Amino acid sequence: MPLRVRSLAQSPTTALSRFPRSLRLMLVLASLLFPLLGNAHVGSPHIVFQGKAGLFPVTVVVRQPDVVPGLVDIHIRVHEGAPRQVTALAMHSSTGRKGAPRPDLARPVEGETNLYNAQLWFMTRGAYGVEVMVDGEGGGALMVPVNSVALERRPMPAWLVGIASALLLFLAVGVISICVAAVRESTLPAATPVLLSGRRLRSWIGGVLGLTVVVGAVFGARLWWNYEDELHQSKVLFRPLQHTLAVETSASGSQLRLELTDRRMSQRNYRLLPDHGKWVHLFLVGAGDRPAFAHLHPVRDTNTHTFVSLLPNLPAGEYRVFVDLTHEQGLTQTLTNRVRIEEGLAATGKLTDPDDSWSPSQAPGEGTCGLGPGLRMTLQPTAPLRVGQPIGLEAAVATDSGDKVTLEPYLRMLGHAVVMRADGTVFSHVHPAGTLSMAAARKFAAKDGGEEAARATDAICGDLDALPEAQAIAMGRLGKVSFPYVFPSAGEYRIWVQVKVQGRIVSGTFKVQVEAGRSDE
Amino acid sequence: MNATSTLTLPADGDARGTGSTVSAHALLERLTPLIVIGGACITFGILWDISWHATIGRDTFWTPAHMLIYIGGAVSGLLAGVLAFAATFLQKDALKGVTVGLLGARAPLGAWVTIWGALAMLTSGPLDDWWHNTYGLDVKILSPPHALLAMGMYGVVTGAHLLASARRNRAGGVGGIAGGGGGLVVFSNGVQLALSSILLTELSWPNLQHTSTFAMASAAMYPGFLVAAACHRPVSWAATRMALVYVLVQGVMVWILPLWAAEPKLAPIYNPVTHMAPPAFPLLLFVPALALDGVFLLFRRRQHWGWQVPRLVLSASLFLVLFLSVQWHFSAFLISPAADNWFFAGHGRFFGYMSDMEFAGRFWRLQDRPLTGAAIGWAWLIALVSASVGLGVGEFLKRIRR
Repeated sequence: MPLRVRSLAQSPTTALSRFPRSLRLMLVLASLLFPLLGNAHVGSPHIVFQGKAGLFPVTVVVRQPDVVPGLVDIHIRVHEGAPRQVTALAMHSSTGRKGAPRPDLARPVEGETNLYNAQLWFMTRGAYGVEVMVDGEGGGALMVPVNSVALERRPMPAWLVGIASALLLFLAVGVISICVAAVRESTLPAATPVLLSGRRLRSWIGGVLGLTVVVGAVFGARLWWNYEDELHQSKVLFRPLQHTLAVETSASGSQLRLELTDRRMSQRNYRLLPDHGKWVHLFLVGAGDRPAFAHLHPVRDTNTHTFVSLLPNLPAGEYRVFVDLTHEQGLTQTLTNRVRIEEGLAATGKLTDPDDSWSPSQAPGEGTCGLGPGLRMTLQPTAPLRVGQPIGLEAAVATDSGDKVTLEPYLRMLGHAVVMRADGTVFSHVHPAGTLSMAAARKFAAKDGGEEAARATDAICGDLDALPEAQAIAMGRLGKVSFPYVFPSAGEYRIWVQVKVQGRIVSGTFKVQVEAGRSDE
Repeated sequence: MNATSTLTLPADGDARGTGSTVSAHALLERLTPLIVIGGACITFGILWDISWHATIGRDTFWTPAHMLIYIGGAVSGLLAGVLAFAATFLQKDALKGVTVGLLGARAPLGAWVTIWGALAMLTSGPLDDWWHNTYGLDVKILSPPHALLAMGMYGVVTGAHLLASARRNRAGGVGGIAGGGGGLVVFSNGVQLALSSILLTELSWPNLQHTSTFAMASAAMYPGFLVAAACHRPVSWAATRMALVYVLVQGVMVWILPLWAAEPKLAPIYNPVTHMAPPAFPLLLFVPALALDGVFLLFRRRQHWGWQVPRLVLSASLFLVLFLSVQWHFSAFLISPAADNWFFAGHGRFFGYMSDMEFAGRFWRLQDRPLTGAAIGWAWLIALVSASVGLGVGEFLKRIRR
């Protein structure tokens, strides 16, 4: 039990900041290329998972590919113990372990202790589960679900345009010159002295022939390239689910109605999986320096693709909306939208779901935030906030007099955090175990190992319901919870930390500044 | 270019007269077979590489198959560069009669084409890398950067064939049967055909050989090769021998690759292969080739242009009838349990780890790409155009001397 407490509460403090400079630089570069997208965890290409592989506490950082097939980069930090070896295995949701190859050996990162790196190819679209196995005394495995979707089409960089154009021009000149030479003199017997003036017509014929070949090749290549590009944009690029979102007012109060109208919802793979007990996690974030915030769990309405939630008593204004979904195959996505709450909308004060929560407009704290009468929350990062730096965001709740407060299970965990860049281009729903979807991890584990393996995965993911009750209570008594995360870009961020104390859900609101990754070099 | 300048050229017979000419010509004679071998390395390498991807999956750049391709391209390109350097600077006078001028430098035409091919292979590198990073790695053979790579490979192999053809013509006279070097020409031509056929791999699986796409793509590619060889005729029955070289090149890979144990390294694995997947059994092109050799033998004394049209019509028609009927039945055999053995790579043995073996014993796309009468008509027209191009190439190959 003490080991569990240590691993969840303390290991990020010492370990997450020890990722090598090369990884940090890579994460920085990767983040520059990553725009706002509808993929799970908007604008955040990294999945961070902190848990235990057997008895080994580990932190796994997976950089998702943004093309398919694509290369997935995995760093595994083993915080304690002496592992014999670390392996990583990718399983596709369609075949599971049965269709998986032998695991790849993760290689120790030079100059680091107990940091391992593996790179795996994801060959098809959909959801993959990456099983990280730490061999050694008390070794074991953990599962990290990773999306495999094509997220963007990058423009060709100017330097490559220059080099490629020069080389292709050179090749084009080569084709024409070769055709001229071929027609002009390649059939001449060696013994024949030839006046080149008499070959002028042939030179022209060769030139025209060569030019025709070049023009044909350029035209054909252009047609083909455009065709492939359109195909990629229309069929291959990941498209968030089409949906509608509206505020409806009736005699019983105002409610938010989310309807997934996308035709793909009729496919088996697009059926939803509940994630820690909820079909949908919907977040509302207000505008301005004092943003209101709500974390709701709409319930299914008349058909399976419509979800409704009573509106909490939020101030009028424009809100960003983020909706976290997990699909049956394990693919996760975050839908983005906006909604306007008009003045005077009737809020009933009732909840659709007992775990719904919201906080009114309040100035975000810088390090400390009030949680209402007698309580405050502090947020302490485990290392300076820099892009690409795996980090722990450690939140502690105490009374105004400084006494520790026991955290109660909220949505089966010690707490939930939401990280959003002030401009909305980054959004992540973070758990104490990291940024992965627990539902997807459970799905992969259950596919091969059944309910027992799924339960073990729940426990590794920090699901308090899957832990012995005494252990869960002891963890809560520490009064603090840590969230592992990798900031993908520099700028001002808002962080909401939600915990349950004294039977009510409270949200601490913070603002932090994240520096560019290169500044620490 | 100076309109009054004259190229003073040694006679063919005089080319071996002096010490320097002997060494210069010896260089050309010796390097030509090596460049042909470099081209063959590319062809074997690409077949091996496709098998590697189908069996093991994506791997490092430094696989032996990749190395064989790039070494083949680099060696051929460098040797052709040596020829160009020698002909331009070291043995300019001695080699003047067997070279052509290009932007002030001199080399045999084949050497220029080989150099161009090697450079195109290099150029495709950064473009291919960008393509992979943008659209994902190709799980298919044909993409625009791969097409440039393929053109580069094809340039190397074609350059080798031109060098061999010019060498043969210098030795034996126009269309001659006497003299040496005919075997090298046929071999390089067979290698060229094998490399070209790889472009159509994804349209030519035995399971697709009852479709209109297969008929039309084959009609575009193969009559040109067969007619060119039959017309060029560096040896008797040249088209047939070339087609047999193609069968052997691909056949060797069909028979050798499955002897090596290998397993997939990437998920998802739908077909857990245990040995290197061979290519599909080669097409029986030697059957129409035999007929086309016969046609050109029959018409060999009728060189008047008026005979070209009936010769082409007969060639295209014979090709289509023989090729389609032979492959129609042979493909049915290849997907049947009777061919499920090492020799024929039958019943989907060529399937990679990402293929579903459930479809191995069926013909595909019979509904949307049926081989209708109209499709055969189009294929005949395409074959006629292909044969016409082949005739032009064949006439050129008869006469190339540099």
